[in-house]
Amino acid sequence: MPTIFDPPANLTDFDAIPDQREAWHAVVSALADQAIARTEALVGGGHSQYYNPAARSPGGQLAERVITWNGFPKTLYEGRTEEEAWQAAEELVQFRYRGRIVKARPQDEYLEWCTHRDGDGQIVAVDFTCEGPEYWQSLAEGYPDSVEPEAGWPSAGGDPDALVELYRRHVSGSVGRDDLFAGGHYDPYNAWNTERGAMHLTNPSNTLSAEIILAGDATVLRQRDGQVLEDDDELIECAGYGEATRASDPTIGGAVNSLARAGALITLKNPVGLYIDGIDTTGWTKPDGSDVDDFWQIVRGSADATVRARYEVPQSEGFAVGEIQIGGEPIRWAGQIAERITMKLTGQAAELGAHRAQPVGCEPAPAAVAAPSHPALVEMRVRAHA
Amino acid sequence: MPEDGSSAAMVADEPVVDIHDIQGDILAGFRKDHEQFSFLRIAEPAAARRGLRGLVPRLSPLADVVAFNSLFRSMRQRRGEIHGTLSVTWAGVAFSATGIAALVSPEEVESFEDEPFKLGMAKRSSLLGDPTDASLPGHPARWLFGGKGTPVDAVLLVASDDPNQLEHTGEALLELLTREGGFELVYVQRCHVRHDARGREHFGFRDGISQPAPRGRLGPGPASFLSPRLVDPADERALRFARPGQPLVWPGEFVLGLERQAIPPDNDLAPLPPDPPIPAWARNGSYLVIRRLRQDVDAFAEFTRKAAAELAQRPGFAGLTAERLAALLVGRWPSGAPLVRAPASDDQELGADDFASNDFGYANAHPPTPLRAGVDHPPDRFAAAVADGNGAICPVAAHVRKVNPRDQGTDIGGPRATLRRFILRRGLPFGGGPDETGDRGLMFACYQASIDRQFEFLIQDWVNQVKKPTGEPGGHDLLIAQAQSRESGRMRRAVLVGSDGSEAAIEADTEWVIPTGGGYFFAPSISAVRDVLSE
Repeated sequence: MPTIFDPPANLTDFDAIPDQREAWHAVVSALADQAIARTEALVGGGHSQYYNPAARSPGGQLAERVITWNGFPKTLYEGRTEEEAWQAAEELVQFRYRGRIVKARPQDEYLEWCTHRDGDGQIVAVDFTCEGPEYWQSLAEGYPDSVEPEAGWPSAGGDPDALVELYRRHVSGSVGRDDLFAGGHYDPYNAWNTERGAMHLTNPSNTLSAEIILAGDATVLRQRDGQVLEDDDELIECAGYGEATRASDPTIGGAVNSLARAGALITLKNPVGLYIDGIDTTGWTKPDGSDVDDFWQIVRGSADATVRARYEVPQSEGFAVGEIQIGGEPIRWAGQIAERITMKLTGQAAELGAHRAQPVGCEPAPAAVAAPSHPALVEMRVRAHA
Repeated sequence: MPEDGSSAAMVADEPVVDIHDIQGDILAGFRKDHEQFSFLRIAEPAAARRGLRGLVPRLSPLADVVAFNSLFRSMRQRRGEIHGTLSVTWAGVAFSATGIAALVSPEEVESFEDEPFKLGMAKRSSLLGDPTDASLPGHPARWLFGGKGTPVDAVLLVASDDPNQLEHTGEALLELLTREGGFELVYVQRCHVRHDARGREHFGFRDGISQPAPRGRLGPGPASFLSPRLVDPADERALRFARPGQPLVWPGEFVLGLERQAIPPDNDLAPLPPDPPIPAWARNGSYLVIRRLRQDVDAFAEFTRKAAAELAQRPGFAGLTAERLAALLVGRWPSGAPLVRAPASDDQELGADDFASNDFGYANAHPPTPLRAGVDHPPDRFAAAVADGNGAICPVAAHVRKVNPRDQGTDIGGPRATLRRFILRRGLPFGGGPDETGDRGLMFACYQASIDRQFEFLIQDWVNQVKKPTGEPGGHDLLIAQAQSRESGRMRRAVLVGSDGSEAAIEADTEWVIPTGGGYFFAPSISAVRDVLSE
């Protein structure tokens, strides 16, 4: 049975919008086709080991592979103390988008957050999200920027009211429709998704299309000096998919490539998305020294497929997040929480051993077409506040 | 420039380390059959400082330890003897944050960057997964030293080839530190290699096989590598391994103020410049983690016996024995033979081969590493390791795979990112005795440049986690994990893959590794002991 792509985490926001689920299927399918086209440009037509399950139903059992990585941006540790890295994670970075300077979070492991502090600067809540901007652009306008609908595609138009309602529910009751749109288009970098909140991912590397393209690119076998590359670090250096500084990209790419070397057809499991696997609060204590209770609230998605969560202590407890200690250290930065969050995606492999395209050489330079890279970011920092 | 025209030409020049200033246990290891750990409290700081002054000339510098280890190795090789060729007794010292506060000042402690060190192990214990219920064994309130009622300020290490020398020197040095009332003794732990099973810990497995190899030179000479290079220069692994399976790591990952390990996208064969240590006198020092781990051998044996019997009823696990299950949890057979090179049964010869037993990976097939010409070691004739990405041969939750993922990518990136997580292990068994019963276990000790990034990371993020360092099928490191969670209490679980590819989860809530003491210490340079900590 060909796959019908569902919204990430089987979210239901599209259900009441005419043709929106169908449009989403078309988007994810188109991104898979794009990934295949990129690999075929390297290995030749018909030889892609990435496949679109909406168009092809491989035989036999599907094997699943869950790939996990840490939610805190590894890149930020370089040249910084831990404390400095936690602080840097909360400083928005500016870059150019559609001819204007916008702000985005430097949190580039497909997990972003907004820290809420009280008047004394103490953390009272943190919102975490791993929802790609494509979903929210679709909700606003029917289709994301990165996918141009073709003739015959569903005529979905999104539902701006539903978009505003979700922002009001999850970010602030003060959100107005005009706040979210600029020049007639949904603005993913609106203030309620940057300085004042986190509704979905903003970092240019954190997109659903980047995830799919990375997975596709990583199916291409690579060789150097006649040797097929097997090492995750050498592969990302050679193929230029993603960024070697991150925890996620070399790990995702390496896991996918190992399946490709085993001769599998590979795709991402439906519903395609990035997910929060969970949070580990071992060793976290309340002000009275006892273990913390479950203050992790899954707000969107499910326990198995979390896409939005909030860490907040109920008022009845009589203390704030900032009074929780992690191994004797009070929580001063949300990054301390993010370090204990695990992210995941799930790959699927089929027809193991039956497919193995010819390996290709290395890219001449770190092409990194999979994801817009940080050099695009202008090094101007604006302190985020919420 | 390389001295031998080898592929080491691609490796940046390695720094000459100060062999007369760095304590010898850190980079070379005392490697003794007998060691005494004396945990001390400072009763009178001025007297303690005077006592330390007397200790300075007794501290064993890296120069001495390296020279002895080299001589010992060469004599043993020539004579073919294990015991009795040479004998020496070494000494080392390290201080907890409270110790440095008493000897220097609390402000000086605050300037250290490592937060876990400043807080101390007892405060970090819950983060390590130790019980938070004070009624349970393993809670810091019940520790023999370093716990909530038994703080320690310093540890004196004395290690010897000869138990009589150990006793004599241990007593003499303790007397030196305590005679003026500067230090008071809190707890002494004597450790010895097992008389009945040399090199093995109490569960019966050979221990200490795999260690990182610090880069660096002892001096300007051509054969001066701190970690001798034994891999054939024609093999590209010679760039990154000192000997088969032993990865080279820039020394700043173990000693403060030295060149640090670069990771991708930076070239890992060139170092990152040293971070100026804070305080400045911390240069050439290293953080020392000590954890007294009691082993309940009967509980472990009972668990493996029962779990193996249950699993053996399932397709894919027929014939599973307790011995094999224990090997699956460790990742090696009792001899030390790695599962990925000996999948079916133990191989004593493989286990006894220091090189072959450490020459393997998990993600990819791993042909044996050829040795440099002239290295006196028999050729590797054992079956090569095959790719075992999903843990069908060696479970992904196996202890040795958890703490050293080797060629696997992990939750923190590609395999080279792991180079910053290694620790230099210096543990020895304690207890046992002739009947091998009673209070026995492992005195775990390790050196690193960051407790936070190294020891605590390994325990919190890999050993005690189900889906890290790699994702499913996953599992805790059932050998040593301390799991404490709201939902499942002390329960730990791991997933095994059967011969038919089926997966089976096994769970345990009985504990066989129980922390009974520990501390975070800083082992300063000898000059810092002389110039800063003593008078």
